[in-house]
Amino acid sequence: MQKLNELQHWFGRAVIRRELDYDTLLETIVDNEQLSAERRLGVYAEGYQLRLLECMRAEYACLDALLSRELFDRFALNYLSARPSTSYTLFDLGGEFALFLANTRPPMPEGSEQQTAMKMPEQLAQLERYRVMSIRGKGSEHSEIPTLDATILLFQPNFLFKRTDTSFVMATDFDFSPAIEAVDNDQQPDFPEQKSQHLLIYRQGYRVKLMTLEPWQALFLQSCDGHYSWQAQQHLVSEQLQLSGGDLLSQLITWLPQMVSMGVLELVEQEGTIGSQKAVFSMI
Amino acid sequence: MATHTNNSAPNHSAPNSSNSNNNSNNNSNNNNSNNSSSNKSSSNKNATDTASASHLADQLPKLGFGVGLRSCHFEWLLKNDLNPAALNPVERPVDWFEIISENFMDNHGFAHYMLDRVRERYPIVMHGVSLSIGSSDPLNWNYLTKLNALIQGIQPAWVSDHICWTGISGVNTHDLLPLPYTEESLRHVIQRVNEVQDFLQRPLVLENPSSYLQFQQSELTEPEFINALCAETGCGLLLDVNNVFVSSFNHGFDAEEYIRALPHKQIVQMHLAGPTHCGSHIIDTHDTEVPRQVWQLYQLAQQLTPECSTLLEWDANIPEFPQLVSELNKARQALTGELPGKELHYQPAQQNSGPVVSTPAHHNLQAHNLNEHHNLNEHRNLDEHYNLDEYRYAEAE
Repeated sequence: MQKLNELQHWFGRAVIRRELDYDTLLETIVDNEQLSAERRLGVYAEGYQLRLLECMRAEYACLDALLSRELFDRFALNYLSARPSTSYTLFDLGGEFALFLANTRPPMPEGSEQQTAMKMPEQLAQLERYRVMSIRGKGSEHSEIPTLDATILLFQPNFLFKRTDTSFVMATDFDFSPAIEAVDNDQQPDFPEQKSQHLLIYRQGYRVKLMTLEPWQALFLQSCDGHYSWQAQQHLVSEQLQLSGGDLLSQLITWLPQMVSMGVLELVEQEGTIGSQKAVFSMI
Repeated sequence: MATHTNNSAPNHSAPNSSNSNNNSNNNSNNNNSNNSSSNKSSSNKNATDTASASHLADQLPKLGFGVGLRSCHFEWLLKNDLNPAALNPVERPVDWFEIISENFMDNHGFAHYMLDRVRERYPIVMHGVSLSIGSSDPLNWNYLTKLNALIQGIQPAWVSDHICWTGISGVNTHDLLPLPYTEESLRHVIQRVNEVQDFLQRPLVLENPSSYLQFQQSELTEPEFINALCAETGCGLLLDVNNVFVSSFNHGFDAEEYIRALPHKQIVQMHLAGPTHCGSHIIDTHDTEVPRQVWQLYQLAQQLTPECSTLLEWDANIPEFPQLVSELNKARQALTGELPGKELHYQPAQQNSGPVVSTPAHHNLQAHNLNEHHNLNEHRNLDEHYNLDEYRYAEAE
């Protein structure tokens, strides 16, 4: 008689890896005329694969629609085979799909059109993953959002901002927004137009939205990790993109308050300065 | 609360940490007779501390008739039942809701907002699918810590999971896999139920699984296993009537005899659902109406456990909320002596529509989370023009 531990390892190999030892099968599982032992075990093996595949299709609905079901399933099953779930939650199941697609992309000449085209699946997978992460994050719906404006910002060059856990910035080589919108409306999407852009994925009032960004906006948001003052970030962006500091400042002081009110950025409470921040708000 | 490293036993939060440390991969080799007495001691203490020596069914509330909280019904609930303007507080469509615990762990978005709103008006029961109480892997303390945090936040009427295992060697199949009903399995599960109850400081309620195979080495029947488990740990039983029907067909046992053999005083809840007949076997799909055979078994179960809290599960092809409530109301009808529903038969034509997958609710809710947000995006009123706080029932009162 197999010990519980041995039996569960045997069962796991049969269901997850489809490694079936027929001698052990008949010694282990009751076989009868109604249903053979192999078919009984098959209910679990088929269920395992199909259940997880359904999860992948649901999370990556736009990629599924664009690639065709057959191709998507092949990618997803390879991924599930390479990285079976080790989490108690199915939310983690597709967490590394974009990385898997990037790592398994066939090599193409760097910068070639073929290489760019081959990046579509991994970029769309990353975008869809960010959308799900945004749905589940804490967000800012329950936060007291400070009323910022240009005057406050000019007086407070040391304010620190960070992206909320529902906001993500990514660079893409395609305009994915029409395809995402089509799938959201249960329509078949067209293949996305090749177009380099920066995309903001964010949540407002519990709704996840997409917004295209100017390069300076994307770089600024990417550097919003709560460690550098917004003025230091302004200098960084200005230097990296060769933009006039004055022009950038004038755009930032009107755009930054919008980002805060939309729940994209939050003001980081600094030790010793929280009082002064509140004092500034109350003065205004 | 201390956060435990995944798969390591807690140092101080779990009162029964010595048992936890014994719970390694090879514990199945040596936890029989000697450990049995210490387990029993822990078990008795546990039952005394958390459930008391008397019957659990007498201690927990009778919640009436409920349904699973699913994201595809959020919009209906917001516009109707949770909308103070449209509300008649006397006429609640259901008495309580059950949530899938895992869908609310690490989820701080709209689903959690909805749960808070529903909690203001209804009792909640937490139903898990990843405890893996029968696995020979160590207990996942990271999971249990998060489960406990959710319990503290939700304050559910009780917490349930399944008599099963879900994975091995750290891999989660996200399925409810069957156990061999042996003395070894029994001791193993008893030990782990005690550990979990000690950690959560409350009795667990465990559900009989639906199964598609039986192990040659099983020494006990499922009811014998359940009776011993309940007696030794004080845990409660969630009797899934549909699972009894499914397993009885698949394994050829008498479903009524099975129900009569259960520890009725430990049954605190019943599940109802609709399965799919595949000819040679029946699969627990939760995607259709409850068949007449299940209603018949439900009547018997309710005779043996009067007023037991009842929950309708529907996790694929989920109908609109009013239709779900209509199906739930058949349970009320069944208690008057009428026999609702249609007989479940094999219908080959329906089998060509695609593969049949048993559907733990966990998976389904995640998929619907995405769909739900699609729908809400279509309904721009909830997006730009609606103030969600209008739906705060408690505040409105």
